[in-house]
Amino acid sequence: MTLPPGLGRELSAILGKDGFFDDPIHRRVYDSDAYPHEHLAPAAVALPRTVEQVQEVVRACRRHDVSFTPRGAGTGLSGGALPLDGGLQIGLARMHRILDIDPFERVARVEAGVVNLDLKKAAARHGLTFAPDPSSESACTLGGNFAGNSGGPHCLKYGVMLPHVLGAKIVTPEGELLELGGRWDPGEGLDLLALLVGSEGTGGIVVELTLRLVPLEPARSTFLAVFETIDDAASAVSRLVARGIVPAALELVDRVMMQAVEEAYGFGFPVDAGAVLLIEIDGPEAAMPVEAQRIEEICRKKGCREFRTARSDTERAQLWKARKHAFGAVGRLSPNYATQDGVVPRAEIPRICEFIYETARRHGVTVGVVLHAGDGNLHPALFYDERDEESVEAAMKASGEIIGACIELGGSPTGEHGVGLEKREFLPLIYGPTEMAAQADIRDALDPTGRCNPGKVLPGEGGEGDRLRVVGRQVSA
Amino acid sequence: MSGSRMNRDLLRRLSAALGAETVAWVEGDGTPSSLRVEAPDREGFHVAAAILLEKLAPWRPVGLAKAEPGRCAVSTVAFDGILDFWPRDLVARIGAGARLGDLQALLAEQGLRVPVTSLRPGEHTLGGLFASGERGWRGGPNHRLRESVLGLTVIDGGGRVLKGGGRVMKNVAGWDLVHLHHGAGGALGVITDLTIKLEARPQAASAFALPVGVEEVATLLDSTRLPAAAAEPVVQLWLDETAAARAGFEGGGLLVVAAEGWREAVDHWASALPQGAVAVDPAELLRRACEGAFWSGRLHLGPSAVLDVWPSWSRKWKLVEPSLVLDLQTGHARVLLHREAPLRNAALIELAKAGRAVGGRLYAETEEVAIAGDAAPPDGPSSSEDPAWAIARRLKVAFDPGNLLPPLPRPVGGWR
Ligand SMILES: Cc1cc2nc3c(=O)[nH]c(=O)nc-3n(C[C@H](O)[C@H](O)[C@H](O)COP(=O)(O)OP(=O)(O)OC[C@H]3O[C@@H](n4cnc5c(N)ncnc54)[C@H](O)[C@@H]3O)c2cc1C
Ligand SMILES: Cc1cc2nc3c(=O)[nH]c(=O)nc-3n(C[C@H](O)[C@H](O)[C@H](O)COP(=O)(O)OP(=O)(O)OC[C@H]3O[C@@H](n4cnc5c(N)ncnc54)[C@H](O)[C@@H]3O)c2cc1C
Repeated sequence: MTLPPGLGRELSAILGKDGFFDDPIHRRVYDSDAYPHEHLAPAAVALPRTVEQVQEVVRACRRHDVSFTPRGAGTGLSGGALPLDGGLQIGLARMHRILDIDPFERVARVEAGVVNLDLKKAAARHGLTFAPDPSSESACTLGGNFAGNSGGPHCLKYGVMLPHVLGAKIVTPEGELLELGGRWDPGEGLDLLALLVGSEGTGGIVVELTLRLVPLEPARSTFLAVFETIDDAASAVSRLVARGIVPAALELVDRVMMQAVEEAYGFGFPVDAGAVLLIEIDGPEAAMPVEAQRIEEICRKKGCREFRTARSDTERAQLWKARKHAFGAVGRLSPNYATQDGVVPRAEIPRICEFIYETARRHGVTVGVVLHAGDGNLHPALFYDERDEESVEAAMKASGEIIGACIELGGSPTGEHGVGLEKREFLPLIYGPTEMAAQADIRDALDPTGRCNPGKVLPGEGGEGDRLRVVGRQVSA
Repeated sequence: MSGSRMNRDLLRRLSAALGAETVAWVEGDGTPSSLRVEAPDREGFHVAAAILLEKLAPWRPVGLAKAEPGRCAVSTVAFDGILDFWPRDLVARIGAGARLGDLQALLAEQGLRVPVTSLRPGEHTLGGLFASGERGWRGGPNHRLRESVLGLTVIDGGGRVLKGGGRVMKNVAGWDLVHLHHGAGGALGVITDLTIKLEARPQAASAFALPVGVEEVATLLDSTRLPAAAAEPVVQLWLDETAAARAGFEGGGLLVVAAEGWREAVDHWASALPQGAVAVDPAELLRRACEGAFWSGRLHLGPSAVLDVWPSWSRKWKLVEPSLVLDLQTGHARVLLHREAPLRNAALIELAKAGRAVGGRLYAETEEVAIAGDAAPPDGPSSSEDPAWAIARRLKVAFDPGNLLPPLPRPVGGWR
């Protein structure tokens, strides 16, 4: 797709020479996000610096009937930021100012392009932090976190993005400025803010956010509990939660992933164990020993063969590295991998893991599993080699079956990565025709123009963009 | 058809479909009587909604609220059971008519709770609490019903049975049918059941009240919040002198703090509190402070600005006996007037002005207190001026095509 001739000129005038690009190189740079299976180049790229510019750009698109797709850092894993209709990519990366931090009220006002970790660093100077911590926190933007209702390892205790959002300014698909919530607790009223959090960039362009900060906890302890089997680890997870223990993080890493990490970093982790739990607690100093003791007791009762406590910040960092860099470590074992994001009820963790291994075996695919165990949110990594079509096919088939199984077990196809482009065909598996119609109603209410991030979330064809390479999507249908 | 004939006709249809015992006339005080339906199950709501739609009869989903004239009340109170319980996941599906108090008592037997508070738990249904967007008296981002509801079923104004969300802890599949109904005041349909995340009751909980004047609260606030403090309290409320006196504590403002968790940690926290702290039951204390107020509203300002504005205003308007309960964690400030006086409106307008001067707002429950010279607020979903109302209006048309349900409440912070 190319832009109508007049639009390019208008956008250049609004954004200046360094804010608008329609050359092949820029289009190529923006043709992908972290969803590995699809490359779609936008017709052009707009990089506004102000709210007014965003409004003007959107209004210009409206006048010329051109679609547009918001983009933060492009770390999304479901193709949400890819412009399915070609159209204009509106990147928020240049709107990255932290406008205000009020330590007394514990509130931060930021532009949407601020990187998650940058806000954490700024808040830390006041003894505060921003709780949502996607593993991509060093790159992903707060606007992207809003659009995806993103979570992270520590959202078990602190909640995902939504409870941390107090207010938002959004440029609607019509180019109006929508202000929701505010600086203080939003209080009662129609909760459009909650409806827009997680709407995957289909309700307009988030330009500014007012976010809640929380105090950095005075104390923190991190443990590694080693289990012979995944079942034992999973049953320890259920027991911990049932006993009222809500760790800050409760992550499960399986044997394959441990082996990958060990091969990459050589931390001395047990490579013969079925699974390990990475458990972190935080809170008042006085609670630490009691809670640590209870956690160890429960883990031991459930068959934990070794319970390590991080004795220093370095040890703690190593344990977290094992978890956060698990996917990076996979790169040493396989040229490519597909990761999934299904959710199951906590009690079904053993069954879904069994299913994952069995399915992978059946398709001849190697799989390693990392799980936000406290939430039942799993990220299996299915290894493949993109140069070998058969291996791609096998990994994609297994991946689709795993999502199907999550749904059958009473779960969801996505816990944090969103539907985007990738999981559109799965929506009708969890919603009946009436709910699908209601989904479309909400989409139309948020964007009656149909121009904002078109083709996402709802199943359908769409896509006149320059599809440079397509692998796998047809398999997930 | 005349109003009363229509009502008689509706009564007949609803009684025939749902059983005579579920439908009743409610006589108003001098106002026309209206119908109240207490459907026993989801199917009952579905049938009732279909009949009301067919007859184009206005209706409102309610918990315990009375019927309004000219609007049939479709109440959930007869649908109040625990419908499903997944003990290993700590998740339950519950009829929307369950009263919070009853539910908490039932769950307490299993050592569980819903992490939600209300000053009148016996008088609030789960559906009503969710639909009115109530946040309860306990602060903290996760202690709001919104954060505990994983899924729900709703029958919308068009008679569609819609299931939103599910029973898993995280779910970002599609647009959020659950939160669409949060704070919607029943304007988009009747919520029949909610799937809720439960939590284990903490091993120990204690709450204390400390005398703290308005001058000291800011400093003390800083020190109880500092990371060096033993625990982040789960409740942190400040009552002004009048509210404190009404709660039975004479002699100045009052700070109410509570902590919960492991016994050792809670005891340690309590031991670090300043001298003069008295153990209290925060719900009971707040009930006493709020009892008998004839006007209640909210000041959206943030704690420090409230503390700037409040003292001089409340001294000046003593005659309406104003009192303040301020949640220091959320900034949620409840303003109560305890004595009716002719100058009440003037007093409120002055408070609203003082609030606006520092960027805040004063709300009388659902509407902002207007000041002379204000542009008229958008008249609900019929106005297309404000983008929030424009979205609200489109949602209303989609989910209540006959416009039979009550008007939508103001979108949160949606017009300025
Ligand atoms: C290594 C790695 C680890 C990850 N770990 C996690 C994790 O732990 N938890 C998790 O939840 N996610 C995780 N993700 C996924 C991703 O980082 C998150 O979804 C993140 O929130 C995306 O932010 P972004 O700025 O990169 O958004 P993008 O990828 O640019 O966009 C994502 C979606 O948001 C929309 N969007 C972006 N900005 C705006 C805006 N300003 N206004 C409106 N819509 C907008 C886009 O249109 C798109 O639909 C991970 C990704 C990677 C690569
Ligand atoms: C105008 C107004 C004034 C208020 N004033 C106060 C106050 O002074 N003090 C205080 O503590 N609280 C107040 N509240 C909050 C309110 O009292 C409670 O949240 C609510 O009354 C809970 O009672 P209930 O469950 O019986 O719901 P009801 O009182 O029956 O209904 C409350 C609201 O929720 C809707 N609703 C109820 N059940 C459902 C359902 N199942 N599905 C969809 N919608 C439903 C109703 O239509 C109504 O809009 C007020 C709320 C409103 C709307």
